[in-house]
Amino acid sequence: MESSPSKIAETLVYWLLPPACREEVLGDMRERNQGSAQFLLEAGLTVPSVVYSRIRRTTDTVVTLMAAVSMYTAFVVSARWLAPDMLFHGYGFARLTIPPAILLAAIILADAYSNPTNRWPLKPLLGPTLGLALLYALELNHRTALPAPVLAWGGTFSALLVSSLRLIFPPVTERPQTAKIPAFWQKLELLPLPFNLKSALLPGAVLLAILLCLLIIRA
Amino acid sequence: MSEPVGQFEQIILTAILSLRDEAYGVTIHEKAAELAAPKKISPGAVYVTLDRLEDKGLISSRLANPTPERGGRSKRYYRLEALGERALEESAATAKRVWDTVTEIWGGIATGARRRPKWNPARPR
Repeated sequence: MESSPSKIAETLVYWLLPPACREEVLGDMRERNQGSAQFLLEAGLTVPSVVYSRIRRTTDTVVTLMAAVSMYTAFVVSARWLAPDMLFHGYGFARLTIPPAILLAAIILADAYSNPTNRWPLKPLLGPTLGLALLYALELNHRTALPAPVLAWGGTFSALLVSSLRLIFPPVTERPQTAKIPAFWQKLELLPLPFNLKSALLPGAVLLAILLCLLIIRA
Repeated sequence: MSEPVGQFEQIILTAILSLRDEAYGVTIHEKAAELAAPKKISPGAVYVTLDRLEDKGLISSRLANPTPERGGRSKRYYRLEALGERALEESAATAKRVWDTVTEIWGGIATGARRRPKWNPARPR
């Protein structure tokens, strides 16, 4: 006899799955179900793959890189004006990468978990706002946290920059869809060349060299 | 030339082709597991590949009406697009050329007429 999974297990998996693929994945899991333990085991194997796939589909690599650079610059500029000493002591530049990373992770996850059926003009701003809230929650009571003014100004400027960027280049799911065109061709029309790690190595090395020169000069 | 597809993508495309109008997550996973045996396939890998194939324009999907046996949830049905058919044809032709070359060199492996001699280090050359 077919047994249905426990309500708690099903509700947990329901909230872990991105809304865009929740219906079919949960239905398939329910159809394959042979008990709560098996249901949870399958969820453990399936949910990460589904979330990864959704992130891959909703993340525009070029815009994400632009957002990361803008946020890092905002934090560096804030630190330069408000607490210049911290930049050159106690891994200042490295510590400044943590808040943009938290913000970026929140934005990427907010895009992956956004419901494609709910459309409203300010939806691209949801990710940066949630990211900012998460940033303050995680950073304020941390031993290696940035000074409060740097965090406040850097976070605010980052959120403003990223929000503007996302209003100009909306998330992939919010872009206008043309009927009967496969997503692949649509992406080719709308997006610039895909990001290639090899092609990013040289500019990355140049940036690193400039940064090291600056540090040496300052020392 | 159409979009190149990997071995796993080829398996998923073949599963969708063989299932025709009944191709959705559960049946595709079962058919793919049958085609890839003895290798095991996780349902997560199937969903990732289905998304990737859809992004490439090789397959398309539609959400059907909810069914009570699935707890009132809908099935997402997949179908092969013209691009997908062409990609599958090309990869099948490549696989056939590989198979023909292998059987030509080793002899009839499939029929058991002649097997490749096992390597034995003790045997004099």
